[in-house]
Amino acid sequence: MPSLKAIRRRITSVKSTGKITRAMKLVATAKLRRAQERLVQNRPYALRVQEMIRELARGAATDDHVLLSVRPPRRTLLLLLTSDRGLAGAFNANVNKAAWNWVQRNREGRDHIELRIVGKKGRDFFKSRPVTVGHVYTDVLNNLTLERAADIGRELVAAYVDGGFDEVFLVFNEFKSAITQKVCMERILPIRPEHTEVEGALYEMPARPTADTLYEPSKDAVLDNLLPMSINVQVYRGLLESVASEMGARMTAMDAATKNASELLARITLQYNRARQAIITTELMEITSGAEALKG
Amino acid sequence: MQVTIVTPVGVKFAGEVASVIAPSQSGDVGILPGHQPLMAALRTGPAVVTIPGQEALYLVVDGGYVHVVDGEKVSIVTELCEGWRDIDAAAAKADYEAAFAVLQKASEETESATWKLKKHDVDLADTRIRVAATRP
Repeated sequence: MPSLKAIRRRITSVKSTGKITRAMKLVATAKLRRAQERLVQNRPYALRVQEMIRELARGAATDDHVLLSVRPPRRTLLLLLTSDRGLAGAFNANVNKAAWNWVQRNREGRDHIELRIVGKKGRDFFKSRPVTVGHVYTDVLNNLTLERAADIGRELVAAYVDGGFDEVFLVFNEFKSAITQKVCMERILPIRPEHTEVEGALYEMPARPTADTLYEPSKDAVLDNLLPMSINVQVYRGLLESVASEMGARMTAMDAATKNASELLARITLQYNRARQAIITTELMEITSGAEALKG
Repeated sequence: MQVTIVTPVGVKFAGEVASVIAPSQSGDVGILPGHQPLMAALRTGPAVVTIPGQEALYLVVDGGYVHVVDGEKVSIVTELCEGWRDIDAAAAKADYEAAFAVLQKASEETESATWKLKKHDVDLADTRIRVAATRP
């Protein structure tokens, strides 16, 4: 049986851990709300870009534009979205594992697979694993700006156009609800307009381009502009989904941790009280038996 | 004439205007009420929105497109839209100089994607400096 002092020390430590996890949960909840708002704000834009691409690329052959051209997948690039900080349940483990499994399964038949990673957790996971890791971006999710997303997007396009990659995938946690995230793997390059999903048209689109619509400088040039935009849209969306998922996962994990802490606290408090009582009882016994002995 | 500017961080501007000048890739397009249906690719540059009874509003626009329908509905869809309030002029100047230095060194490979990235940085910083200068 541990000494009273040891138990008391344990109680203090569990109490302070509980305080920390509770605070972390509150912070995650507040951040989650903001992240969800940003997801919603991004929607009209994403919808417009996707719809326009579908409109313009209708009937375009795959070799009309370099970003539309489907090549046999010899060299593949994966962009993996993880967070910089842990204590977010299975948030990082799930995407890391999904990416790693994919790499192992698809090595055959491909000359080269490269990973680019957002977040320290992904970097650490792949440090000891035999796979090429290109760029690592840190401090993205904590302070997500569109510019940062667009920079990453432009580098992906550059890798696809100049870097000899034949396809680019995005691996991320999709935000389903505060308590569920789903690992998603989407091919973002080459762009296949007929496959881009436009979920729930919430936004009022202007009337379809009519026959006498002027294209400036040309229909192709407009497409040329829109295609890289759609990559940035997808990267940004993936990042937004990741931020919301991270916060959701952290909230759930910290909630569970707080509950465990209070359960544990109840248990050790009971143990403490029992130990205290036992000591008192022994002392009483000693006193009474001493008194009895004197009487006799 | 109704103008909406949509960016990934939300609707940046929506309202009734007298005219819009959008930085298209082949020059600037001025749009007045009754314009022919238009779909133009934009470059990184300044857009000018004139609101009746107010001073012209200068905005940084970063790529995207402008779409005119029915002669009075204009939408600009762009990755970034900033007014002078959103811009840190000193930071823009520093960005400009940093990116320009890189461009000058690599002036031969004007076709590579990385060169284009830097060119974009220069254009963006340049536009920011100009829009920041419209601070009243």
